[in-house]
Amino acid sequence: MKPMNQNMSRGWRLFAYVFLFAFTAITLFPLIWMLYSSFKLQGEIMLYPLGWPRNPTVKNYHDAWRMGNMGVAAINSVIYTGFGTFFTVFFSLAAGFSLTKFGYSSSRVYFGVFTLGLLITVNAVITPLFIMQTRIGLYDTRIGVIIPYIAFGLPMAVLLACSYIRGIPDSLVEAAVIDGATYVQVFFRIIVVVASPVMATIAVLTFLRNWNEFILVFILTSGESMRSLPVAINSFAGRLNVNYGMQFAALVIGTIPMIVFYIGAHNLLISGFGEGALKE
Amino acid sequence: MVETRDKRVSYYLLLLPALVIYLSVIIFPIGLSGVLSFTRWRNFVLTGFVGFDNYLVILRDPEFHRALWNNVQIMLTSVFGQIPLGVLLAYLLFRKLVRGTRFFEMVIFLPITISAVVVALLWNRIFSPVGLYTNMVRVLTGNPDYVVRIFENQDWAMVPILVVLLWMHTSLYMVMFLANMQRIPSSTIEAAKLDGAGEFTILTRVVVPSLANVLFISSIFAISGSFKSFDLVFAMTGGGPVNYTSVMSIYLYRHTFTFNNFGYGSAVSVIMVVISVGLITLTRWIYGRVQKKYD
Amino acid sequence: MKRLVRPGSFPVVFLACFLLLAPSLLQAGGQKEDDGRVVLTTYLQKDPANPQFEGHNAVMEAFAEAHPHITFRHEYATGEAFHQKFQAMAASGRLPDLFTTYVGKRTAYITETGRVLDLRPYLEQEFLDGFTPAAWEPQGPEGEIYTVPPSMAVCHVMYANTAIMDELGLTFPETYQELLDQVETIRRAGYYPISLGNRDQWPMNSWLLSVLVDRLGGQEWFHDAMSGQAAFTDRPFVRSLEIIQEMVAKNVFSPGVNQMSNPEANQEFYQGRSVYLIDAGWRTSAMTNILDIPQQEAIYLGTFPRVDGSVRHGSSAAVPSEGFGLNVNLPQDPRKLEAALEFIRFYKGPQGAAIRLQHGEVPSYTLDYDDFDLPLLQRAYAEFQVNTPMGYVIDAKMDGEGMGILNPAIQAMMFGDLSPLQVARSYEEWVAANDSSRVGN
Repeated sequence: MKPMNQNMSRGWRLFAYVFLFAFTAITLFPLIWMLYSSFKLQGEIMLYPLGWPRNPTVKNYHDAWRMGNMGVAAINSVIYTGFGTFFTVFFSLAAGFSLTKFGYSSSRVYFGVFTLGLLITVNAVITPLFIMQTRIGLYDTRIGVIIPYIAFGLPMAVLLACSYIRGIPDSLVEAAVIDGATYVQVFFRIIVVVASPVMATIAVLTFLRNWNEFILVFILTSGESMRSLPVAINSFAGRLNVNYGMQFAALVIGTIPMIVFYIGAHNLLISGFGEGALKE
Repeated sequence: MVETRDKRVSYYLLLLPALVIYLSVIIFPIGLSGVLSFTRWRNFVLTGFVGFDNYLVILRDPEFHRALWNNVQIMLTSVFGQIPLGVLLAYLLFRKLVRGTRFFEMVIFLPITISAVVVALLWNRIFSPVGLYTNMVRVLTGNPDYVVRIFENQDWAMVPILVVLLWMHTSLYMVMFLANMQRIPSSTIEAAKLDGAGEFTILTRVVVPSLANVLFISSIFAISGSFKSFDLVFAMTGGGPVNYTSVMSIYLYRHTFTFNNFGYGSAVSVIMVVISVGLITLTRWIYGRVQKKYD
Repeated sequence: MKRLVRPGSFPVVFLACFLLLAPSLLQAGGQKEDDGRVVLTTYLQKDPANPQFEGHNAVMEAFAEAHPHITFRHEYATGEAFHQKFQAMAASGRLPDLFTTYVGKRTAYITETGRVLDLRPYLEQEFLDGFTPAAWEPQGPEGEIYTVPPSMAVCHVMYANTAIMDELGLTFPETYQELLDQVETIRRAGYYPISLGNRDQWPMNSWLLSVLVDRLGGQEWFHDAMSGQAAFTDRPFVRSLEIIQEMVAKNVFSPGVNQMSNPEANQEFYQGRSVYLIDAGWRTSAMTNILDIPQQEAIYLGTFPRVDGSVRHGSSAAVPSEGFGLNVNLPQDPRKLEAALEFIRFYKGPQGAAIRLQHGEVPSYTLDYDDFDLPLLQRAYAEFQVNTPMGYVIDAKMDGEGMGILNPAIQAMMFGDLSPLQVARSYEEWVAANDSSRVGN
């Protein structure tokens, strides 16, 4: 029995390495290409698209940062993404708790309502949303961006939260309630702690989605002071003469924070697994 | 008695913030879309009420049929490609079957951080008629007219997009599965190993059943996401050549914003929602059956 | 069962982030308006970060210097996204004071819906006379002027690489047949005859089909076809499609013409792998930036060779470029109106035109080019505009939705899936039932 087991493990391991190295190569290639292309000027990119930069320059970064007003855009991106993600995580966890551990029959209806939200394409609702926001005065405000961010982030987040919290034993909640805790206390003291892996998951996915989001910010704000990074980057993708060099520089600036956030969230994810988890 | 009142108050206290924000943003646009789907617009100006005409025209339009079929291909790739692959990758990392799990976890995650624009540009730099791969083949085969023909083939034009989607979005599922695998007590897996179970058995008998719920949720994400997919397709092909790679959201976008017929676009979005609801209901039914079988 | 009470660090970190960011939420968006100044809001399809718009930026600077009391609150957008937001603005009735408008159909949702001001009462005849006459094609049923076109968009130039032609002993073809005869020589030498990037589906229509139809049918036929007295199944249109089909069949285009984006087709031509490039006239500004002088000297600007049965020869196709339209409500504030008109006179008139000319544009306002030291290809482009008769561009005249029928059908024809007549029929069928030139709005 045992040798066969080891063979199988070895087969798995070999397969795993081959697969992962291939995946790594395919993934790193575009990133590296983007990185070194950002040090080439437009003419060189046009004539030698895949070549290593012959006269490396940081002019693209300098121009992109200045002309795209990327300092402001970066701050805006952090604000939109930060608030959007925070409230999405928090509200979805609360809703997930209420929809799975209270046993009310109305939960099924609300769950369905949130599921429906997954099916809505932003392009289909963006014009009505613009009309609505101009009427009530939310147009061109930061709150007017953050609220739709939360709303569009919630369906996925609520479903994830529900699926995770459903797996937490009911006895845990019941024991606390019998000990005299209110349900709100149970949420803050138990659920928030026990559910930290799913919080990290939701946070990562919501952050990514918000960080890359283009159309809501573009349509619902006007002017440079409210732009986010994707909107600023889009301004380098002109219609007639695309300036690839500057676009790559801007994309590098836009991609790094996502990777940094993932590394950070990943550490939290692991520590959440290690210490906050349930033990028999 | 007091406990039940506190319970109901708490229920709404926890639920309402999410529900109110979500509905306040979504209800008006959705309602308007529903109403507008019965109207005709020209130059973005309302010109009249047309009943079900938009729906009838859309459902008869061969371009819409193609878009729908392309969406179905994306959905099949997501449900039967991305999800199984995501489980497999998460499992490799969860069981630490390779060295450097943290590095690989990072690498698997990376594709979703790469902008669709970069992916599309690079893809073209390699596979377009002036691309690296194309030129290599031209030199090697001595055929100066070589181009990648599947891009121009009605039946195969979607395949390159599907491959890129598989690479880009699998990490989404991997992250979710990995988080849920951490909940499986290590004692359960040790017990299975002592019983002589190999990795494959552990995966299929222990890990996958415990992921049933999140697999179901993932399928819902996969289905709904597939029917909305836009960015990558738009960047890679824009729906072309001809309309071989058109998808429903590109069809919607073009009719709404390029052809200025807001009502027609609204009808497309209603159809998209109806199809997705149907498929999700089906998934739920299957999930219910499977669960019953396991219980 | 026991639970570990140690709180996960995740919520704590989140709370910290939240507190850190909270103050920024209070900042309001937008800028304050200064008193005593005229502030004009704009929504422009420009990309100030793009070298293409250096001329635009320079004019804006010069204007700010000359008129310090007029300030702008700009909003820029590019590509399809520009229209998406513009339509939302139109639907909600919130248009800025000044915005980008097209002379053709592309912004019909603004120009044909009474949202833009007719400039005829406000602009002096003398000012209008300064422009090339081609700029003043009618923009509305009564000859309205909504947009003063800053330049002409020449949509067909057949660029030739004379270095390769000399090497192969070829001259620029006089007739279409001569072009077909060159193919073998060119291909045997390892080059491709013509580069054209038709991945985006509209270039074949804008850059080649329009010229062919105009040459074979002339202005009158096209007007008849628009009004329904002629049809797109007539010979001029079908024959034009046949020529494109024949060019594909005889390997005149480089392989993968429908897979190649515009910049990729340019790349092929710049790298000296093809003899001709069919592209728009404004490509000269990119060539000036990217190619070195000997390469630029080798480029000749011609037009598609003579086609049998055509009613005009040597012509290209052009459409007045997009310019600025004014909000129809602007006359309610005479100070704003005056400022906006002053801006249009400055930008489009002699001062702005001279500045834009020096930054690579060829303005529609008539200037004496001898007064300026122009780069080689810009000079050639300017002369091309003066010396070449210009026809219409189909997609500027007909509804955009019809192009959504025609352009994919042309690609399908090039793949051999449709015949020219089938393409013409499906387009004619759509036009007869839907196009605003036939059925009205």
